[in-house]
Amino acid sequence: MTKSRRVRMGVSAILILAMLVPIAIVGFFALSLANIQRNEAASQVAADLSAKYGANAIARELPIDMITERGTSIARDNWTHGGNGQDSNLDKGQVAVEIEYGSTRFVNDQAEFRLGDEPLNSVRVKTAVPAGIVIFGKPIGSILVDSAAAVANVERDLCLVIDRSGSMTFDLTTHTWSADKSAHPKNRLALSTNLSKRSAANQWWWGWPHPENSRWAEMMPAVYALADELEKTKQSELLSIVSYSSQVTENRWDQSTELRSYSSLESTIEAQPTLRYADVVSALEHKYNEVMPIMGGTNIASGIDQAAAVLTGSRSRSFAFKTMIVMTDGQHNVGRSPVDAARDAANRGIEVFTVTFSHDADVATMQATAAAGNGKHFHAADGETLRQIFIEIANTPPGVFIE
Amino acid sequence: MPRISIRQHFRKLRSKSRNRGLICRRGVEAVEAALTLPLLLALVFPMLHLTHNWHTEKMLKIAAFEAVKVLGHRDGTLERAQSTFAEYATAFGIEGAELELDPSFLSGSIPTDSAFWVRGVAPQLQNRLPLPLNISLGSQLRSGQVFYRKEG
Repeated sequence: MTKSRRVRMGVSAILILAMLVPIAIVGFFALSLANIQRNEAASQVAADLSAKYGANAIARELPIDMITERGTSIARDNWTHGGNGQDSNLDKGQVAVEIEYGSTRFVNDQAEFRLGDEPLNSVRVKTAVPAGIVIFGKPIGSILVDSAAAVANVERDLCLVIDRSGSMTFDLTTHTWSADKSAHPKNRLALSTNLSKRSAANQWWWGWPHPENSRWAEMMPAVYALADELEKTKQSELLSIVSYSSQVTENRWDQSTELRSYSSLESTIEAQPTLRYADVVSALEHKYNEVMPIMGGTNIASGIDQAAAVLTGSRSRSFAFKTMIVMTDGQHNVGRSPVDAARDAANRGIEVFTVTFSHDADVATMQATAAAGNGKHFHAADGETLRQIFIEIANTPPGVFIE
Repeated sequence: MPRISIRQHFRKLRSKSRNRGLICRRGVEAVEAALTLPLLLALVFPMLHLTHNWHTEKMLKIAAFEAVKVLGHRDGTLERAQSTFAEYATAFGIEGAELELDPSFLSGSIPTDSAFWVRGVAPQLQNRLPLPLNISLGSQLRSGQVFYRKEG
C-alpha cells in the first residue's frame, strides 16, 4: 500500500514539468518568429527610405558619393526597434547595406531595373542583418533577414512636335477648307470695298486656320487636354513644344486686310521645357490664330531634329526619360527622311511617338518612324480620337517603388 | 453469473480502491496541477504579451514610416504627416497612437537634406492583451525611430 502511494504521488507534477520543456521550445520559437518579423519590417523600412531618398537625390543631381553615404546612413539608422522608451542597442556595423544605381524601363507594363543603365534614374538598396532567437532581449543563434527596395524616378521631359504646314488649315474630311470663305470670322476681305482685296477673299483662308473647321482647330483641344493631364500627374514633367513646316516666304493678308510678307522657318521652338503647360499652349494658339499664318510644306525630320536638340539641351533634366510626340496631318515632302531623324533621336536616348491625324497622313512612314525611334504609333481620324491619344501618352507611371 | 445493479458495481469498485490504500490520492492531481500550472502560465502569458507588444511596435513603425514619407516630401507638412500616421494607426487597430517628433521640428521647418526622425507611440494600457501577467515594464509602446532626410 505504502509503496504504491509513493510511486503515484507527484506523477502529474513530473508530467507537467516535463511538458514545460517542449512548451518552452515552442514559446521561444514563437518569440523568434516574432523577432524575425519585427526585423523584417525594420529592414523593409530601412531599404525603402534609403532608396526613396536616393531617387530624390538623383533627381536633384547630387553627387553619387554623397547619395551613397546618406543612403547608407538612412538604411543603418532605421534598423531600430522600439521598446520601453529605448531603441535596441543593435550594432549598426552588423547592418549590411548595398546601394546600386541604374535605369528603369517599362517592358509590357512591368517596371524593370537595369543596373548601370542610362538614363540614371533609379536606386536599388539591399539591406541585411542577422536576427533570430531572443533570450532576455539578446539574440542568440541567428538567421539573415534581408530586404530590397528600388525606387525609380520615372520623370519625363516631353516635347510635342506639331505640324504647322499649310494643310493644317484644311478641314478633316474634304482635304481643303471647303466652307464659305466669307464666313471665316477673320476674313474681312470679302467685305472690303477694295475690289482687289475682295477678289483675294477666296485665298485669304489659306494662311489662317478656321477656328472651328480647320485641322488646327481640331488639334488644339487635344493639346489643351495633354496640358491638363500633365497637370494631374504626380510627377513634374517638363513640356516643350516644337512646330515645323518648311522654309518659305510668302505674302499673306494680315488681320487688318493688308498684304504682308511672312517667313516660315523649317522648325521653331514654341516653348522651352516648362511646367507652365497651359500658358505655353495658350500662347501657341494665339500665335497661329492671330500673329503668324500657317503655311509651308511638311519637313517632319526638321521637327524631330529640333525636338531632339531641345530634349538634350541644358534646360532638360539628365535623369528624365525623353519622349517626343510627333504629330502630322500630311506627308513628309521636304528634307531628309523622318525615319532617319527618329533613329538619330533614339540613339540620343529619346523615344519617338508618332501620331497621324486625318486621312491624308502617310501612316506607313510614320509607323516606321515610331519603330525607328523605339516608340509607338497612333492614328487619329478626328479631334476626339487625337485628344484621347494625347491623354493616353500623358498618363505614364509616376516615380514609384518598383521592388 | 449473478446480475448486479450499476450502483452495486460502483460500490464494489470503491471498496477495491479502499482496500488498495489509494483513497488518500483524491485531490493530489489537483494540488500538483495547482502548483505547476502557475509555472506554465508564467511562461505562456508573458510570451503572448511580448509578441503582441512587438507586433504593435512593428505596426507603429510602419505607420511612422508612412508619415515620414509625407513629411520628408518637399511639400510635406507636419499636419499631413500626423494625419497620415493617425489614419494608418487606426487602420491597424492601435488606440491612442501619437507621432513623436524629432526636437528639431520645434525650431520650425526642416531644411532640405537635413536628417530628422519620428516614432510612433501608443499607451500600453489601451493596447494590451486582456490577459494577466503582463511583464512589460513601461507604460508606452514605442516604435523604433524612423530616420529620413528632407527631400528637395
